[in-house]
Amino acid sequence: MRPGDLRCRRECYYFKQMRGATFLLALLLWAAAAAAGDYVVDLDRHLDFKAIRTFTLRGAHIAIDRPEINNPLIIERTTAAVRAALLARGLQEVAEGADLRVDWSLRGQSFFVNEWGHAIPLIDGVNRTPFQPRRGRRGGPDSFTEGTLVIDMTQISSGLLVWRGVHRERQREVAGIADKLPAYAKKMLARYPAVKK
Amino acid sequence: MKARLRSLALLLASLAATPVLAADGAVTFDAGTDFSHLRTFALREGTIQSAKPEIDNRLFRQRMDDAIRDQLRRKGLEEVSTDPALVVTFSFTDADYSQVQRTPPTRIPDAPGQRGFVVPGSGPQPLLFTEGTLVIDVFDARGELVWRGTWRNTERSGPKLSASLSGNARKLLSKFPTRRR
Repeated sequence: MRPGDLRCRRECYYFKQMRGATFLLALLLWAAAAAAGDYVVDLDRHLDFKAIRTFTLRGAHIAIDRPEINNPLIIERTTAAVRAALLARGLQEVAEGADLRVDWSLRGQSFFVNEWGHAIPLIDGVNRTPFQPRRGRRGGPDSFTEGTLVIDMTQISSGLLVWRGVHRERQREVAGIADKLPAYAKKMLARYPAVKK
Repeated sequence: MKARLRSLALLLASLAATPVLAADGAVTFDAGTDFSHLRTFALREGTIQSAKPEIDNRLFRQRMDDAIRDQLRRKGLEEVSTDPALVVTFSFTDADYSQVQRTPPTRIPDAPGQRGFVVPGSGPQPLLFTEGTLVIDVFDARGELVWRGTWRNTERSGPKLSASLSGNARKLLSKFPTRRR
């Protein structure tokens, strides 16, 4: 097949289109990944984590006043994910006399995007900025919520915070954050130092 | 071909979902101080003005202290608990910002044997980011400021900012003078 052939021109055209489309698709996937949530984990660098063997789960708190996320089912599901992740790292859950106390909390900030593209933080679900009339959403402009999941581990003997993971994510719907909470917890707790048995 | 590559490069820039990330460091010091004779230091507790849980906690302070301590040791200084020649401390503040991002449509020009096309742009969209300012101060035994490093960093989220700060502290302190200039 020579470059001047009609069939070559057609197939070469399709090849070029597919190559361009693949490149654009890769670009869009990269952009989506770049826009995904971020997390950071800090631990006490002066503590010997090998000496820590047991934990107890205490606090679970959701500070977002939306029924799709602030309900016992979501709390239970996320707590179960935290428990499973710590057990996978080699720790043991006990009711009393634990080395670590584990708490997690979720807080959020909702934003209303006006027609000029400005993201305005909502307070109690209402736009209260001084230069905007007080109004609720009318279903037109997009809005999103930034959720922050914090997992804390406190050494009971010293009372000091020894491990903290913080995950921030922005989602169009609050329910999207609720669905992903167990995955966020698992991802952060994978960075806890594993206990060798 | 060159026109097509230019257009694709423009498309790459326009489709980027990350905000403009910027980092800016500055160092000032007292030129009259003979740093070659100042060989010991002590760390003082830093000041954090941030409501972010990934920054306002003792573990972050510990990470910053360790980074500062480690970098000064690399410079040949020794940490002491009494009568230090230098006292080192840091302070950090951050603020959240929102901008509007617009992407114009991009025209991919015609090429021989292939028709060009238009990649549609996007309307105004919010772009949220956080700017953090890290200041490391070094005082001499009299309490006079002899060295200051300032690092201003913009990141798309608090966790990314928190993760980058200890590295930024090391970069600043890599410019700490160890001999008279």
